[in-house]
Amino acid sequence: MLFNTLTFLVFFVAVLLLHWSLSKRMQKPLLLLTSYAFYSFWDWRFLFLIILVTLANFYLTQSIFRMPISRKKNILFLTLTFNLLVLGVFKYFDFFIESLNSLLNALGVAPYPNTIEIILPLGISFFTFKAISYAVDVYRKELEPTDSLIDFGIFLSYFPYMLAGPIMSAKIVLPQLRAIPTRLSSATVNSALLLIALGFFRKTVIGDYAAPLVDRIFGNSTQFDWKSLLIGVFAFSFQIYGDFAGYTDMARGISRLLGIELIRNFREPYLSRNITSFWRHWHISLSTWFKNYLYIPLGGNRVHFYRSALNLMLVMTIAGLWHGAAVIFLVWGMFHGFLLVAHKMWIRSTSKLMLIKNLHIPIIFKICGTFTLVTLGWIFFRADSLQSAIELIDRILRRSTGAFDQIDLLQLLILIVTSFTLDLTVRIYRKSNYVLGVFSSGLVIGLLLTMALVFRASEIIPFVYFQF
Amino acid sequence: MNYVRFPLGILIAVIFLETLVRLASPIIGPTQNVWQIQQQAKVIKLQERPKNLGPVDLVIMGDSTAREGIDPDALDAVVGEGFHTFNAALNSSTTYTIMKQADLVLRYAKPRFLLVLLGPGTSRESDIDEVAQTYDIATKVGESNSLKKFFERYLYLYKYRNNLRDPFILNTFYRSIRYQSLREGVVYRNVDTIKFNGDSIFPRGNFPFAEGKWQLPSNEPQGLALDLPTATIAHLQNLLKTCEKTKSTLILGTVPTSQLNQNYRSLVSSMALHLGVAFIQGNDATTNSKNFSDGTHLNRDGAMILSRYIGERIRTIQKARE
Repeated sequence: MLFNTLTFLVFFVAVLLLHWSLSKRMQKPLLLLTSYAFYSFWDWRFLFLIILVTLANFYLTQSIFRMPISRKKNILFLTLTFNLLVLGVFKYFDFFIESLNSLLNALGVAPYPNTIEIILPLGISFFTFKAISYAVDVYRKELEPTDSLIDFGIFLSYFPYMLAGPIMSAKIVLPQLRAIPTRLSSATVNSALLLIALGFFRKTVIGDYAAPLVDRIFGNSTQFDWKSLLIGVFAFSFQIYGDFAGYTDMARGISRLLGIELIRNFREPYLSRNITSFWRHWHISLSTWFKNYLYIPLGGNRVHFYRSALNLMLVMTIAGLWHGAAVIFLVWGMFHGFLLVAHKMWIRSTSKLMLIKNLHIPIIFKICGTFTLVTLGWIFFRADSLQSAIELIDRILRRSTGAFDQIDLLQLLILIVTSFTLDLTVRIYRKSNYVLGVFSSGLVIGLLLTMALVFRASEIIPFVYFQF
Repeated sequence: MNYVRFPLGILIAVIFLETLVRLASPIIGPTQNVWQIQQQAKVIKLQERPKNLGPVDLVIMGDSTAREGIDPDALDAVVGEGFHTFNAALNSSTTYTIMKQADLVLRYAKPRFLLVLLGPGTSRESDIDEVAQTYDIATKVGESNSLKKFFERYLYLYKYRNNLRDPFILNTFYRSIRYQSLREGVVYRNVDTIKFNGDSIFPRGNFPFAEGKWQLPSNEPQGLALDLPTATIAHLQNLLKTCEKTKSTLILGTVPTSQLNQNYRSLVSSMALHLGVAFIQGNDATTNSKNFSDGTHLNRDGAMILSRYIGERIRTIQKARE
């Protein structure tokens, strides 16, 4: 069940009516049940996995809290192992076996047992990461574990963020669950509806509009000329942003209507002036997670520069692998790790060399440069394999001609104008602290929804990040 | 008060956009109807065909299954050098529109052969009368939902949705100025996406549809009581008359599909027998799901198989005719 379908609308209206008509005591069990029902629409069998992960983490983290200091570490280790094992088996087992077989083949040794071809449960990367952060927070004494199994169950499987984030911290969710408001102000409802409309607009007018063009070009990359390939690559930048940011906006709006606030996952990332800033504005909940639970424990910025750079490479490589069990995601992560390290070195050198320090680069060039680098990285993210990604880059660099040179430049221009105008408007609105009135909210929502409905593709296109 | 102001805002937004589209409608051009635009574009392409390419020997008619399923180059290569096929099949075609388009193309191109490929959706006469009635007035053939019809008539936002979604809308403006005709602007934009053999310039996808997902029997279902569709037969008889005038040979055929209702296989062969025209059972070319891109349309490999299969039969028919 996707947010952009009529089925979800019916489901959500029913949940909303029940949620606000029930007593405070019954609201949370309803939220848990509806979250499980929502997940069951995809595959009810994996509910058992979620319940298992919930129960195991709930009791293990309680033990971490209660155990003497000497044994805390062991239980934490056990909890982390359990979660990583779940993730490893369901997401990475086949990848490791395939990689092992390739290695053994290369060494001339007989291959290992076959892959198990298990279905990837939706949202597994998101709920296991939430479970890990919860256990670590309890171990660090930054959070007291909840006594309520229902609260913990909601924290792990709350339907607005269950399938594609944001990866919320228990420190933010659990206090909100303990104090769900009795009623919502009209300003809250307006802003929530505005977020839903904005998300729907991003998804349909930007993400889904770019999808057919991207699919056509990436699906037949050897047959298109280099200009068409370049257009396809840039169009994917807008597709993934419109798709993922659209999902997050809708998730935030939906959750706000249920009285729970979710964090912002995007802050106009394509307006970033450098790659470090990009990662502070793109998929914020994931980069924050990696910073708090991997980069800082590895030493963060406190260690020697080269050690810190190495850590950054390692973190980004793992972040790449988090997205999918494939070599291309690994390369994508390494590519961004390399860019971040290069930027770190650039900043270091500018502080020492006067010539570079006084070098003035116009902001527009910085934004365009960062956007181009990020777009180049998306090739690895979108291509079917590393080989096809390399071939595609090679064809662009060699300015290859193709059997087809259908240039969809106008479609790309529409995407560029729509996406950047929307981001600039959102940024100006956010910074102005101006709050739209009831009538203005209705007007903006009406405009966004009507345009989204007019531009809506004839078929429902699933969210890209659901595969992770 | 908020209960009024909020929906009022939404209503004004809708009215504003509707007004905008109404005001812009004269310069947006006519509403885009998938079938009409494609039909005109294909006829224009046929007219624009360079003289040195020679006359068209075979014209293929059908719906999207035929459009996706026939690669004219592969078919020509099998029949022999100098043989030229034009794939005039269109998406969203119905039995009625196939027959009308076939008559038009036949009179214009005067091909040696006219191959009408019918599938489960186009071999039956279901709703053919309704389509015929609405054909001249409806902007989208086949729309029968009354709510949609209402929107289509009164809401310009709905009526012009295809135009507004069109990524080439700016391109259309440019062409409208170039050809000094709004209608031509829209159609010519589509003409550029068609090759001189009627095939789309966009490559066919080659993602196999789960190998072994289904495997249909290649034999025709036996013992079926078939009532020949009278309207379709009448249209085909009209086509036969046109074929006599243009000295063309009418051939009926089927396109492989995964649809479980395989009655049409026998239905089309019975129609061919009834009319006394040649018949090609395209269903026998492939029944394996790996040759399909979805449950209905052939992928690149499937199109090659079917095209070669039909090419061989056309060669045989051609020899017999000579």
